[in-house]
Amino acid sequence: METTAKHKHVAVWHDGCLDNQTGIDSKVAIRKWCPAPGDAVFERLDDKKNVFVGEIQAELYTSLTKRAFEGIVEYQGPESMPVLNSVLCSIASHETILNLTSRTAYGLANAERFCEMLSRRIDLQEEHRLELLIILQEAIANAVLHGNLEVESAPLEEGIPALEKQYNELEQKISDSALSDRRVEVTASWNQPKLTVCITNEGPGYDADKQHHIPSDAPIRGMELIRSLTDRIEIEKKGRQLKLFLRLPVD
Amino acid sequence: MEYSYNKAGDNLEVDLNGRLTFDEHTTCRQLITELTADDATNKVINLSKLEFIDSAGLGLLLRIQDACTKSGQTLSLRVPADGQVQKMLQVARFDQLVPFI
Repeated sequence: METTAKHKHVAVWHDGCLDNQTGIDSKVAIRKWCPAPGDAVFERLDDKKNVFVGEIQAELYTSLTKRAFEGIVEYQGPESMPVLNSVLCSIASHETILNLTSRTAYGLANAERFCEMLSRRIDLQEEHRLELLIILQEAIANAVLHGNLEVESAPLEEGIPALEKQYNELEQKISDSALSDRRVEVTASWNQPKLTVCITNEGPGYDADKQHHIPSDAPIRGMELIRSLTDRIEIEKKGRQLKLFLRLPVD
Repeated sequence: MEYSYNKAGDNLEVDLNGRLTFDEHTTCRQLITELTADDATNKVINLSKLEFIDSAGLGLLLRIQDACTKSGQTLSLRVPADGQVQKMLQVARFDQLVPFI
């Protein structure tokens, strides 16, 4: 399916899932993608941003992030069209977008994959890359575990029993499609030397003003680690969106 | 994540491979059960081949340490020289919480 109207800035690559589907609002170039072992390059369309749309599995995921896609969007069926259109509208102002359901995101190395996508767009020094991996992992974990799946934290002082309880809750909630279908979206925008990373979930949110931030000597909790590695953070959309501001000076 | 054991007398060393993260809970559950059930006096968790760790992984290590302490056992960590795991341990100042060897 290829439009003849003037194309916007996006090329959508899909694995067959968009055939016979209508409803893509943006005038995009649609390309079917059939990866084969040993494929090194796919056709980039001029200066268009390339977005992969389809089912995401572990091996494919690694392959996609090595192929310099600017966007990866998990597609479940026609119900995913609003998400896809939203990404296509916003991709112009981002370097990189990743949008997955929590069920798919769970168990995949999303921080590493996103960092790999981003490092094809901006030059990341090793020190910054390692810090970004930590920040992304903590933010994505919070979004999936506490945001979308609504799993409670396991207090450290309650030891292993609290962790067991959390594991049981997690197993139950990851199987509940009402929760695990909720998506996590990660975006990055770059205006050298400033990098803005945004992680959004579809959970009920929380009142960030009621969470007291108490700095500790050894920052081992997710938000403490994020705060220690970023210039500043903003919590928006009633706790469903975490915006992180980093400065990555280039030598 | 995968793990394997080396036991010699009162010393037990566990080698971790792969990722110790919030979404590895099935393997973590097994590790906790086996590690806390072992009666070795000195336990070492070798992180030098681990590729990735997050705050959930750090929390797991602290809980294992707590269980060891309550049983009169010691826990130490063998840590990598570089990479994400080394960076995470450094940022979290984890050497203040669990001894490194």
